[in-house]
Amino acid sequence: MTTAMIMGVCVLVCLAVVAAPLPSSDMLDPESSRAKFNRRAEARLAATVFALAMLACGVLMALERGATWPIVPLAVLAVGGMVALHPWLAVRWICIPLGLPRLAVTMGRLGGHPWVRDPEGGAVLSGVLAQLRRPLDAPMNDWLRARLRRGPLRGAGLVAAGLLAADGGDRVTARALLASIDDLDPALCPPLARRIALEWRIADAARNGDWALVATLTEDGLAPSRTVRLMAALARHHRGETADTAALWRAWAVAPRRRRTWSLIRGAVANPAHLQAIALEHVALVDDVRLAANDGGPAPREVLALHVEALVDGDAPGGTARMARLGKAWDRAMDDFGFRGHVRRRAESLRCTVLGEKVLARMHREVCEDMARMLTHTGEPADGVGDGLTATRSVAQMHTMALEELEQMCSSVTEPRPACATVSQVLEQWQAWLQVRTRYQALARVAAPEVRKDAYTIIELHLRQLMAWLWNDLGERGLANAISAWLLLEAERVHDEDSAAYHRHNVALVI
Amino acid sequence: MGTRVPLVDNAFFVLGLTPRARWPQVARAAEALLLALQAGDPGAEMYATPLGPQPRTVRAVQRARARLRDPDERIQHEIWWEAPSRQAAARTAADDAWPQALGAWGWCAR
Repeated sequence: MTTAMIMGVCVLVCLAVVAAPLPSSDMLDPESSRAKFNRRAEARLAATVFALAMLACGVLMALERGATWPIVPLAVLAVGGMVALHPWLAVRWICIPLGLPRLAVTMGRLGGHPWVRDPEGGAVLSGVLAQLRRPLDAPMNDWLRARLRRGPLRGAGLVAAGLLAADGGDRVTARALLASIDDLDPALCPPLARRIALEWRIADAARNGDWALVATLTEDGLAPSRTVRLMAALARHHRGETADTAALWRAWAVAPRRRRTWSLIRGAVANPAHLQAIALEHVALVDDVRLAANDGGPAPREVLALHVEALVDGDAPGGTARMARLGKAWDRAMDDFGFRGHVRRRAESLRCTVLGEKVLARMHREVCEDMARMLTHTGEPADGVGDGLTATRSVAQMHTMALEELEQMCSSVTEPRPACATVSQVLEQWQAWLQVRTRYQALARVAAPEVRKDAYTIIELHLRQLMAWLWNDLGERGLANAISAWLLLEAERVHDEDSAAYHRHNVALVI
Repeated sequence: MGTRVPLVDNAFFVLGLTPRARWPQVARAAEALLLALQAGDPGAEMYATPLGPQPRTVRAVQRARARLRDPDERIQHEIWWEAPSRQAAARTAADDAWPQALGAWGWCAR
């Protein structure tokens, strides 16, 4: 009798919990995403407790009456209830390993942990994870992408879109989308989605042999998986931070899928990256004597070789030193009497309509424009380039050119926008914003404060419209909030008080 | 990265000539290339530059011919013709240091 009374009280308590989910300290605004996901999580928790209490109550009552037959049906009912409440259990251990994307999406729609912050995106991400275990299937990828449009894009949806891009072979888009997860409000991004994005980026960096990036990324994970710990150990080994091969083998032994990582470990032990000589392609100087305008003299040949090298190396490390060397080489070439004489004579023999000096002036102008573009792309401070004529002109030109390029790039985010957009259009605009931001940040690193402010004014004008479209027409509040939050930070950096006030107001709105 | 200087679109590279070429030779080379492109000759479809191979189009050949006819343009292309090659290594999936990386997470390598 006493047991039955205790069980009855338990059931009543659980009913109360289900009927009135626990209030959360974060629920300042009941319409906020945080409040909604808290309510969803608490309701699931209460329902789980209720189901377990019912099971325990039923089993104890049956045992009290000396009957054992109800235990099995009750246990089956409880398991069914658990799967309905927490479909991730079945998705994680059945649908994904067996590669059943449609079933994973269908079950994922039931919601629950770990997608309470983004149930729609989480269902699609479950399907994408299952699809990644199967051979490439373009129609299935299209089907999964179409499922994303059922709700606003949030963390899990963005990760699903990134993984679908990667599965289709577009790794550049995948990198951009998966890295942009960090821009979203944490209330909109399930931690598991963040973890999957990070692990894909680590796998991608390992695939490229970029162990410095692997080391950086593996430090970002709060609770790294065994595979991530193995990658961190590999990165340390490849970078020469440790020569302890036993630690590497231990990390491999505890990591899953050891057969697949076996060759990687052996390669790392036998030939770590830090001991491999960097082989650069030989820059061959042409030594034929020709009738070219520069006559193949030493000064122009050297500077032309350096110019090609700077163009090819682009934003590789050492950009400032490379630019400084190139600027000095151009100064020397332009001061070289032999070179100037050859150009002058050649201009006369070709019967040019301008003098040789004007030919050289035009060439130098184009060189400075080229160097200005390269300086912007390197994203390193321009003050280390030197004070020679070529360097000074290039830096001066860089500011004007960079602003023009930024304006041009912004046109991609101000295209006519429909009131109802497909998920591809939303993703295109999101990527366009990411590209504008990358370009702006490269400029901000090298530009003077007043140029940075001018650049901010340009991008803010365009991004404000994009943000309004995402928020008002599409209801993509998470994406609009991310853009506004970044613009707010930047407005404060460039001391644009009006813009900062506008974005502060936007960021404070409920998402 | 784009460039303002005549490197990838250097008229001598496009026509496969050296600065020794006089106008009749330029005209003949351009004509031969235009015929080859119209006939779909695969050997005429690309040309080498210091920044890597570039597609050769009818328009590029016509522009190169016009440039070499103008002495003010030609002299600029002559200066840059001397530039040595230093092509960027093209990265393909086959160049991946560890193509099976996704397999460590149980995902299929694409």
